[in-house]
Amino acid sequence: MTLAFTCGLLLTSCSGAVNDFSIYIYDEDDTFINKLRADIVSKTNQEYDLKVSYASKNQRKQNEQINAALDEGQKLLAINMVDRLAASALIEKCSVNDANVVFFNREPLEEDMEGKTNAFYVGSDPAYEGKLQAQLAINLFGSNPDALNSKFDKNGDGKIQALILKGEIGHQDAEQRSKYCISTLTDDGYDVDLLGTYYCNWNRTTAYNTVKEKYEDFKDNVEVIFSNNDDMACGAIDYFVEKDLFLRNVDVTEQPFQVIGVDGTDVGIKGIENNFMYGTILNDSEKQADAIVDALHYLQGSITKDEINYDVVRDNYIYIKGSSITKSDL
Amino acid sequence: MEETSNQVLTNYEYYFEGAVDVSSAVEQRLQEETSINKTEMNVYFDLIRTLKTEITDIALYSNAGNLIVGTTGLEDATNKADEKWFEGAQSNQLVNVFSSIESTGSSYFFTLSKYVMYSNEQHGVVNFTLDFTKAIQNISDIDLGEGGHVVIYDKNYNIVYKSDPLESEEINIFKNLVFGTENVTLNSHNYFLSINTIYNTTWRLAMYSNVDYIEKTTNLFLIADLAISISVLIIIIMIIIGISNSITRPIYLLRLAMNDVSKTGYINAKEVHVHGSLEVEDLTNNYNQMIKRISTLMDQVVVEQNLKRKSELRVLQNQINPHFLYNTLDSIIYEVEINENDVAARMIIALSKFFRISLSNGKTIIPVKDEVEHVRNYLLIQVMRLKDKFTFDIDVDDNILNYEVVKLILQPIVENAVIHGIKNKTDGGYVSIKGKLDGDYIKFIIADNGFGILDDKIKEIYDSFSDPNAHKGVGIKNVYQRLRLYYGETADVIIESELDCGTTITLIIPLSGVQNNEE
Repeated sequence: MTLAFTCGLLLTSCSGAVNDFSIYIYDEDDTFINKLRADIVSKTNQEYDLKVSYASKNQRKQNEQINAALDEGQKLLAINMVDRLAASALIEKCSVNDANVVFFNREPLEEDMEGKTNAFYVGSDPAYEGKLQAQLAINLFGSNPDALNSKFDKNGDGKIQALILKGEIGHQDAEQRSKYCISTLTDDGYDVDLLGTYYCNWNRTTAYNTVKEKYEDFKDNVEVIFSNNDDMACGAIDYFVEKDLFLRNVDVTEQPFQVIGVDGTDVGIKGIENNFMYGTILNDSEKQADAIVDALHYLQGSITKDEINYDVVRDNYIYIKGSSITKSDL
Repeated sequence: MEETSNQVLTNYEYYFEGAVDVSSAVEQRLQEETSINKTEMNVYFDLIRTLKTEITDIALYSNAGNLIVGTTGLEDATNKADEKWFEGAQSNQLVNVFSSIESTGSSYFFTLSKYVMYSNEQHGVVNFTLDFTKAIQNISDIDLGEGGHVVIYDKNYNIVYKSDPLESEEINIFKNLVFGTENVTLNSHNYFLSINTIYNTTWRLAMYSNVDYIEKTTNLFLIADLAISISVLIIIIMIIIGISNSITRPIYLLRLAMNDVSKTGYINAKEVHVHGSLEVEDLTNNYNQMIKRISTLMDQVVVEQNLKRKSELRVLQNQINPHFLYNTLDSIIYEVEINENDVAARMIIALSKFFRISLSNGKTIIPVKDEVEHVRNYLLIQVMRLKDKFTFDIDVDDNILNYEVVKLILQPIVENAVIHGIKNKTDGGYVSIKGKLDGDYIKFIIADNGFGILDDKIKEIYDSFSDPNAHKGVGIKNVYQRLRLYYGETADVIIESELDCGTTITLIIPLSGVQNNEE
């Protein structure tokens, strides 16, 4: 009995058990990531011994955390990288240690994932989210690009005066959402007058400060603001409310201009409920978490690729498509 | 060692982050501009180059690879569409693409290229040329020990930069570790290898630190440290000994001095001169004052004792044996009754002279000739009284007659000789008195041919000299004490005796005392 207990202790302390699973998060302070993390945890904590580590936006720290875990014998990792360029090294490191890795939210370069059998990526489909943002704008301005709804085309110039609040430079979601939002509109024949693109690093406070600083540049010329996420959208709204530009207790269409976000986090939903934000695109963390679990199972060999409930692109990418949310959907 | 490699990595990441920040700022600016004003953009690029000295050139190319605007002085206007960096930036549109590091002479350069949007919906590539020389110099400043070196390589293990030629097995070492730390042996040297990804790039940095060398350095450091510690310890101990000595040594000296006092006595106690702390000097001063006071007191006691003894001896001196007077007067009466008036007269004359000298107007010292006269008168009287039972002879050298000596020193001795040595002898008694200079002394030798004195008796007399309560041999003791009192240690009385042959008593008086004595 004692012997068995001792052996058990030795086993658990010397090598990672098969059901160990560790999660690495780039930073503690990100609303969407925290929601996603919570969803992953709730879907995996029955099955695995979980460990969550935060890297405080320091890739070297994350490398050390992962290195330590692999040294302990951990074989199953889910990584939200700080620097997406670190993916090649992380995949290699896992290969050397016979470990499997699922990246999420921060997308590795295709060339790094190509042909890798121990790695998967699960993320949103930022291009699709951009398209959905454009679609929400079209709902407002009307489906005829040559005759825009004059309620929203305030100056009646037939162009959409737009602002973009961008996440992090180099983040695929920020780039893709911005790019496809605008390109969808132009491809559909709309004339977009981009008044500015402001980098706000996914952050509500940064967005508030940036909008406050830049307000004089666009003032009431702007007709629609596309934000890469809800946090930044709310940061901008915080300023507009503070400045009494945005009115309380009126329909959202009565606001001087429209704000469209992405993520569908609680703060975003609240913005819609309060009639400050026209709509958002659900970055479906629950579905992403579910896809991550499928990817883990597939990498562990407990299911086949066909049994993955989501579309697998390029052998090891899963993109979860979002859906638009406006007040009528709540 | 891990700290060192982390430091190196941090420096590099800082460098690349700086470059990427500039790239992002330029990208942001280009995206925010609705149309490119080439003049403004040129000024902006030039400004960046001024602020970020490691950036030597910035150029914006159209999607077709044609130069749109660049920093001042950039003349290479050839089409870049086929350049590797240009294609790299276009194929990875979200990533900053770094070229390999190229060296021209002692300078190292690389380029950073980024796919950008400008003027709303225009696409292109911005290219930064960066001077890497300083960053490389920073590495060579770090001492990695013999054979220690740094390698930067990309994710496909193409070498981007190496500080030393690469060993063939190194690539495999890199591939096995990927990133992290490890101890490796290379060319029979032991190294601590640290590999990490460089933030914002697809590059990795490997750094070898020579473990043996660093351990040696550490050991040297430890030895130096130890040596310094020991020297400091020794210095501290010496300082402590010094301090403790400065406190205890004066006290020790003082103690020695005090011990000396207990051995030599207070009279000879010397002053102590000890230098030390204020307290010790105070103590020494007080001690010295005490010694001074004691010796003053001792002197005073001696003086008082002397005075006391002098007055006592004066009393002694003045004690004229009354029996001698009565007996003499009786003899005179007897002579008068038998009409031996002549004899009576002589006796009276002698008695008169005897007393005159005895009194000497109260003086204690008198010339030797007076002393001799005094004893002669005494003997004359005794000869007459005892009916010529004995004879006497006085032989004092003329050269001492004028010396002044303590009076009444011969008479008591002679009296002893007469009373105890000769008086009971039937006839032929003889007393001789000699006086002479002998070296530095005046000697008086009183000899009789009486019964002599037993050795025990002589001893008793000698003993009585130093015993104030003894009464034996009062006469001799009286003389001895007075001689000692006036002339000090060198004055003496010597008793020599042979039974049935006689006794010789020698008085020794130092000449020095004689001349100096004022009283």
